[in-house]
Amino acid sequence: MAKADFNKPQRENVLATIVSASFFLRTLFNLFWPFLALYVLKGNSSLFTDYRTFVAIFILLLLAILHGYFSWKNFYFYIRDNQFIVEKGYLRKSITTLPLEKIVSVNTDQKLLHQLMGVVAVKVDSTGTKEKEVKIRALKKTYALALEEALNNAVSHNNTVETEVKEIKPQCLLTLSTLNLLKVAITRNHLQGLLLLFVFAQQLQNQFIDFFKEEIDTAYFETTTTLKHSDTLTWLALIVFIILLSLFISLVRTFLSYYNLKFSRIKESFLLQSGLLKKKKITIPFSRVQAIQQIANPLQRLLKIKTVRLVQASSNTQTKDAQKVLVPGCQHAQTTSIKLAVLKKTLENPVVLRPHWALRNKLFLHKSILIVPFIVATFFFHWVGWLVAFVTIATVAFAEFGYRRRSYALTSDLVYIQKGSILHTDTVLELYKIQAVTLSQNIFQKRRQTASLKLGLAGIEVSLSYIPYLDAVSIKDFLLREIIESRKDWM
Amino acid sequence: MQNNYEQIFSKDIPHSESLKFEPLLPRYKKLKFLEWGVFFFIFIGIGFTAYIFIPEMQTWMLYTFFGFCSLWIIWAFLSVHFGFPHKGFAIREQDVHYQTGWLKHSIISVPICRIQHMQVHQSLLSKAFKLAKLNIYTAGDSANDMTIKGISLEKAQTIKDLISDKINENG
Repeated sequence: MAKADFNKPQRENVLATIVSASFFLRTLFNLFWPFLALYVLKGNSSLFTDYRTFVAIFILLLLAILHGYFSWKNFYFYIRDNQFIVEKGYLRKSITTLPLEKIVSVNTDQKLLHQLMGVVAVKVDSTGTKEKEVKIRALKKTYALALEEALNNAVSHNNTVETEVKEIKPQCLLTLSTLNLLKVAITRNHLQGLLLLFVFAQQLQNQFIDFFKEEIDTAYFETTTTLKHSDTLTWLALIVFIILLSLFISLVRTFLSYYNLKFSRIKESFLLQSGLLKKKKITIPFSRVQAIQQIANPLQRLLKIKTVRLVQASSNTQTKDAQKVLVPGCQHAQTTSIKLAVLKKTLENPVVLRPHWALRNKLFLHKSILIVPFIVATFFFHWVGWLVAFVTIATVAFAEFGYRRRSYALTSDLVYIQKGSILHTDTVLELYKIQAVTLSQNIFQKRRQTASLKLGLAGIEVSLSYIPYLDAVSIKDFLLREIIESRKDWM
Repeated sequence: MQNNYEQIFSKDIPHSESLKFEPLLPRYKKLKFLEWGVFFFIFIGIGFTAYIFIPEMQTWMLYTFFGFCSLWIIWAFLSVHFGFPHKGFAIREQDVHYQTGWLKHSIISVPICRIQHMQVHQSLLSKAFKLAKLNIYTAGDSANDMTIKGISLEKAQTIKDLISDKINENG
């Protein structure tokens, strides 16, 4: 078996040159493609036959390869004095130092280019330091695994960072078949996909508005005129088209993100692998999970699946991958085994608290903001009045459902919070991972002798709202004592 | 209700209800008034300048602006005046507490073992009032960080040293 000594400065795989060069070219393309497209669309097709174009492409390619080569040549990483150090840059040198105990996660990414070359990119995230993330662009898979293990082990074994390059067999907890993948796609929030499409179209329009103002205006005018004079059937067809489009977007997004999803356990950590064009691999040590959330919308509840979110210690600048680890399509047994693996215990004989009924009013007030735009619209279109009535009734119903579902359960080790009217979100966390406790009471709560407790963790904040004041004080004192007396490390 | 918790609250727990909060220095209240004063002077000045130089701005707009500002000034005055007595901090053997809020009273409590780092800060204006603030950061979101304002620089430094010693002591 090969050995990698991370005490000595190591280089990336030489293929990092190509990764760097392609990144350089992609950045250039992203900057200049609108101008290029415009130039061609305005009828300058001679661009493709002009010899100067080829000279320019050759120079750009040469520059990209030189940039890639020098970046690779000057990139070193190593572990020394309990720190992971990365040296890089040829014009401007930089040294990034991440203390090993602050490293939150070591994840790998495999974009299409990486897959073709048989390498992976490694991302190392840390918290509580100025520089929070370093990326190694290309490493052989086995080598990346060795680095990952070395970083995870180095803290406990101090300077023993010589690691054997070997594959560890994971215990599979969840895989998504095509049918399950379809279930996940169908039960997704389709509005999100539509919104993404809208933002993309808006960006495209902004890019081209100056050059094609006339054409865009004509298209806009024609569309609005057609819609104004169209019958119910056309509107119905349009609605069906939007629904089908949103379903299609959800399907594509699901397959891109979760294709070949494999969620497994290796010793005291989880391993999440998924992705079609961009394969990602995220390692989540149990110790770094701050809370576990299980989320289910009505459709998911109907199909008896949930999305499990593992909340990791995070900072604002941390990558999305490390912050939110979502495991979709989990069934009850899988959810239970994930929770049991991290928490090592179940919620037995908890003290259950229900919020005061005043929470219903608060929920209604919060959601009633939705009614305002409809009320304003009533001044212009009288028929919207019906919608105001409908939205008001729906808001009352949401507040009522939200209130009924809210409950807090507490044991000597765990807090379990159930909430959500449509989207059910249950959160479970270990007491010793709490960072701060805030007890608050507004004048309305004071009248009713209730209060709210906010529990702040690294990466998430949960609240026990509208519980009896005396209970809130007792729970706060209890939590503070538990945190202080606990000998366990929160991360 | 209390009895329901016996199964998990069986041990003797120190009560935060009996905490004695140390009030902030009275000159902090003056500083807050001055800060708001400067802010409103600039804000109203901008509104008035806009009225003079932008011909499209009508008189009713200026009156509305002044009306809005008056309400805001009253609100700012009330929150500083009535909010000040509710502010204070308390340091115990193992935790730090800071209370604030007039209409919504809140107490944030941070165990010393969860403190990541601390920072003593003194702005130009607070330097003139011989005041400083102590920022206490946890690993949680910014909402879980604590800022003890309205204390002297020496006091801020003393508290910082005290907490640092405690952290080092705990290892």
